[in-house]
Amino acid sequence: MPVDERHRDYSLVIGNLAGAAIFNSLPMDIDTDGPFALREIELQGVEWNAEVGGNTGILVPSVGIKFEDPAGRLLSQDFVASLGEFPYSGSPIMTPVIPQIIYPTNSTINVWIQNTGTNLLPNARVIFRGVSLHAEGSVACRPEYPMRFQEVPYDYPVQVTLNSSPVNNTPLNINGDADFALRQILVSLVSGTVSATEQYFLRLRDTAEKSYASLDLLALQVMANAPSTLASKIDAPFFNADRPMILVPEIYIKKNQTIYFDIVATPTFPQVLSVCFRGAKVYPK
Amino acid sequence: MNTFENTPYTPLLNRYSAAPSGFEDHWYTYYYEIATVASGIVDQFPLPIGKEADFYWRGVYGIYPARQFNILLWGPDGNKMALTDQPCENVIGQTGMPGFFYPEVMCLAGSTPKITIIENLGGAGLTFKLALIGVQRFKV
Repeated sequence: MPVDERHRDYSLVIGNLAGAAIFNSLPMDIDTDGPFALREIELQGVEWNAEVGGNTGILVPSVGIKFEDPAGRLLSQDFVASLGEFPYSGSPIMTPVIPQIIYPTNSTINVWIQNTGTNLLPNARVIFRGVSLHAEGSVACRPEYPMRFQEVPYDYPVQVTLNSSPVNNTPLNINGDADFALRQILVSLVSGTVSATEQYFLRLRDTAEKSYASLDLLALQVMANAPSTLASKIDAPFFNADRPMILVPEIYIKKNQTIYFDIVATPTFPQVLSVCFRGAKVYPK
Repeated sequence: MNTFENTPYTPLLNRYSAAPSGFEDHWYTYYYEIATVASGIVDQFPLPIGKEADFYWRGVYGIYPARQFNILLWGPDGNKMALTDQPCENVIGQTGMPGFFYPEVMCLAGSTPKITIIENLGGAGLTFKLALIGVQRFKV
């Protein structure tokens, strides 16, 4: 059965995860518009323990999860620690799920989560990334390449000034010379300051203004509660050129069309961010 | 009833071109050091490509202080590679980790991509270090 795939993020917001706390069977509901093929997982808001096994300076994320497949079977016999399996928050490298797991329409992913550290984690969340599956031709921004075409790499940078949060409905206008295949999102700080506990989220919406995520597409901040030994990471916490956020599948925007994005953030205002939408111009031959 | 089958898949990996029969690719880095102008613009500084082989340009990295520069890359055809200039951090990976783009840009032997550098913070005398990475394609 031919299908259209549409990038989809589901965020399970844990919120406050106290030290040594275990949350059992938290439900993450799948939407009613189509099945969800889970392909990647990431944990966010994960703390680094300053000491492991008496060795100072060994930094270890302190969260483990386990979750169910569509048949209700847990996919690990114990909590899988975030260090071994799931990258820490803000890393652009999500753990792949191979083979993919397809959750039916209107189903639920049940998640167990454990804080193995001693400190409260105030911003814990689990990101399930994959694609929603739809009848062919029924979604906006589906790839519609010409029969013969030439691609040229191209960036659409958009500057966003944050005087308050959220900043909604910022447009990305595609020029009239060519369609644009959006494949990466990068973010840099233009001005202002960033601290370890600030969080940034981006909501991306297609030409029909339908979001690509249940909540926010991605958290732009690297980590919360980072210890001083990792302070150097705070200077460049966003998805820069060497660690972009990759969109799979790509989002195909026809020429002269517009998509929209929102920035939700809790920084010290004002701040200016540069959000770069990277991909390729598609010229018909 | 039609169902969505759990079929195998591989993540979408954009693939660069492979050397065709009769050609051989060699990984290569073009390195440039560019003196910047305090609170000024170095406009369309040339990044010459050697005449020995075509160069398939796949990424950039460099060494630069954070939030100091905005840049704009120009392809070998003279066209801008972005709508406007943007922070270095969006384009050029740091500390040896490149920023890649897809598709690759084919630079004919002897062609000249360019870079425009806008210095934002008044740091006089800074040297902008830039590396273009990719492959040279030789006829064998």
